[in-house]
Amino acid sequence: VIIAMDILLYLAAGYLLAGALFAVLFHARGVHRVDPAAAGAGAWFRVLITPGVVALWPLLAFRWRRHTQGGVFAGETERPLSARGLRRMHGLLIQLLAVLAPLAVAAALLWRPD
Amino acid sequence: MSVSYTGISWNRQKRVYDGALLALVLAGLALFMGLTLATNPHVTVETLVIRGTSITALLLLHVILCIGPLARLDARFLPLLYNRRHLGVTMFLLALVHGVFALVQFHALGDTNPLVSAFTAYRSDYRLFVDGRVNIAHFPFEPFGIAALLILFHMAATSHDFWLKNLGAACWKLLHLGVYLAYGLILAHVAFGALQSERSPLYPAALAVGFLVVISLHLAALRKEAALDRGRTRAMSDGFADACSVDELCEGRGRVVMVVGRRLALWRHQGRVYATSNVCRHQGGPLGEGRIVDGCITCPWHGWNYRPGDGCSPPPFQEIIETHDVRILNGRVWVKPRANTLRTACAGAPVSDPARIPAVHEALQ
Repeated sequence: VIIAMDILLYLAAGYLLAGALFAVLFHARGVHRVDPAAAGAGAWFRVLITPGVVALWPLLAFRWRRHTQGGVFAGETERPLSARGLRRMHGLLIQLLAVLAPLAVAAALLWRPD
Repeated sequence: MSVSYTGISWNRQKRVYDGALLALVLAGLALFMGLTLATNPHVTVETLVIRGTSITALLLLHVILCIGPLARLDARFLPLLYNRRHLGVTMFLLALVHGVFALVQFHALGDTNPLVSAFTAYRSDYRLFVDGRVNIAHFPFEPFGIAALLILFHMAATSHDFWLKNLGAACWKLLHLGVYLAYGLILAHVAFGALQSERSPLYPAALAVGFLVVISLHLAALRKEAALDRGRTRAMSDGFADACSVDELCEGRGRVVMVVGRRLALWRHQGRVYATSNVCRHQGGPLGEGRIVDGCITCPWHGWNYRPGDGCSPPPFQEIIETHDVRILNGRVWVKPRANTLRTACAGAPVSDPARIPAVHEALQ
């Protein structure tokens, strides 16, 4: 188990290192291409989005690549939000939470050692 | 809404909001650290930090989870929704401090990598079943907390509008629904961790009360939403659906109506009635619960603006919502269910519109 966890941690570290390198490149050349509204944005804006850039870098790399191939940024192509679909999913999550969470807590309390 | 990004667009409301948030966090930390010190004077600083940040973060999470349904149930809570993302980021930072201190305190002193230890510390001595009985003691509870922290990190890291725009509203919303999964994981983390050693009934009782408040508010809000969705279209005529009476519309305020299974927002503004989509392009806020300010439809959640006539945001902004044709006959508002092409200018219907609708010939079931 420890070896498996070690391997997983090395993979995660590699992913984040690649994300950090991507973030440098993205801030230098990509952010204003992926989203024109980011052109001229201040340093604090860049600080705020950096953790997300490092964590979600494959997604932004995909958007950047699509832009260089003549595509448009997501804001223009995004379909309007399906409010009803989200409401359904929200309701389902709440009902699952209402059932599963008390079961887990009850199990932890009922079987806790004396 | 903005045509270019800033770090945070500060205004008076945000300053008041964040000031209150800071006061709440400091009060929470002082209270819980003080109580811990009072009941156990020999406690270490690390333990104080671990307990103080965890309980304050948990309290904050309950506040965050209650704001949404409260705002759906009573418009007076809408101001709390305005800057909720700062609550979320603060809660994540408190949880992060808790996680780092706990990792150092309990897992950094051995030969194993602390992160590996957090997942495997119980590998040698833990068995779920011992002599045919469930063995809950020393159940590995850390993974629940780490998983919740990862979810909260992704939510905090994508809280800026840059992410809303570039992930897309639907994807962003789905990601942020993860807060309910994180809440469930945190409850399990607390129940299988702290509650195993804390014998006072106060802790499980407080956890149960918090959970019941959160779930009750959400179920009440869901019930209200479901009742609105069940609303039927009264009648159809000439491609228009009977939506409501003109008298039900107040000047300068929106009203949400169900038109052929879809929520639309109706507006009465300067003697004319307009119909638009009910979904804000920002975070999907219910536009029909907003009002018209300076001639623009204003979303009740974060104040995004749209002109009622063509659904476009005023320049230099570029967001657009759909508009629908409207007619008025005999004091009833009739709306075309099919939206106009985006940017179509729509004059609205004067409240005293003489337009004739043929006799009602189709009642929807």
